[in-house]
Amino acid sequence: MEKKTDEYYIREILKGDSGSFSPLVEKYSHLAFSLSMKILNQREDAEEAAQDAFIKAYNSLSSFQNSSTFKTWFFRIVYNTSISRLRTRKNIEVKIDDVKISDAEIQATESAIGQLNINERQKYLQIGLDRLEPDERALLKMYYYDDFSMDEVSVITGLTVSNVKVKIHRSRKKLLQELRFVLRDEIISIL
Amino acid sequence: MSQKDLLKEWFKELPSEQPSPDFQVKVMQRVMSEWTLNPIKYQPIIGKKGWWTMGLIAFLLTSILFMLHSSLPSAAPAKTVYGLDLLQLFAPVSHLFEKLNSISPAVAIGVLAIIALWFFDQLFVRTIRR
Repeated sequence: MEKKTDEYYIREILKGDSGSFSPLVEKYSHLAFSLSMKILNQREDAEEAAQDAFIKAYNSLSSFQNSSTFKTWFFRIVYNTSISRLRTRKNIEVKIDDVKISDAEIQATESAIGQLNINERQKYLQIGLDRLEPDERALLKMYYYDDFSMDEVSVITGLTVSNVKVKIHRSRKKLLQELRFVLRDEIISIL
Repeated sequence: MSQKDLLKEWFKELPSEQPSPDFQVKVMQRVMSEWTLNPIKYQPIIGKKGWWTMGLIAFLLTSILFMLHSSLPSAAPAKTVYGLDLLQLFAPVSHLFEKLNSISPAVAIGVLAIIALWFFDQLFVRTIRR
């Protein structure tokens, strides 16, 4: 079957065929939910935020301009919707935690993680991610899991590219610091 | 392998988080109810203001041409049927056609184009509404 582009479906929706939104939902539901989940860390909340993001995208399709891809534009909506939902859930304060992990410690942690089997690695990585701030989790997810470029992450989050670079670097270091903390007693000590 | 690549590799190992199986159905139900409440309306390419402006321009152009062009004197002798002077009776109509004849083809084409545009616009709006 011929695969149609996002732009094709958008044109059809704008002509009045709302059913053409279905392929876009099918294509992006997993990614939208997954990003929302990284920010909200609660299944029901993440599903509702992802649904809200789809409805917002549907209602604002006429304002979508091809200056960015639909994926990037839509992810910006998902990101903002999830962040505002998080804000209503609790008062977020931007924490400026000191990341105190040396390069040698980073290497030791990475080496330890590398020696784990895949199931253990998944488990510890998930624990490490859960210990990060929601926006840090989201940034790492977008960059490492969804393969968005720094520029695209900048468009989605509304941060400057240099700010994105700094934040991803810090989040990465913080993740490794958290992993080191989690693994300290169990693995690193016996290596 | 660089540190960044290692993390990327490990992230790829993470199980993908799937929404509930009826997620897409729920989204589409909401989309459909949104659509029922507020269907995406067809917006004509030329708005009301546009039509008024074009109409005014067409009217002004035609009026100016009418005013500039002097009417042709009638040389034909008077014809009467049952006492009615036919030439005098049909004078305004023949006058109108004479003047229409004198309109520059460019203006005539312009006016016709506007009428055609309006016709197709209306036709499209009615088809969409059905």
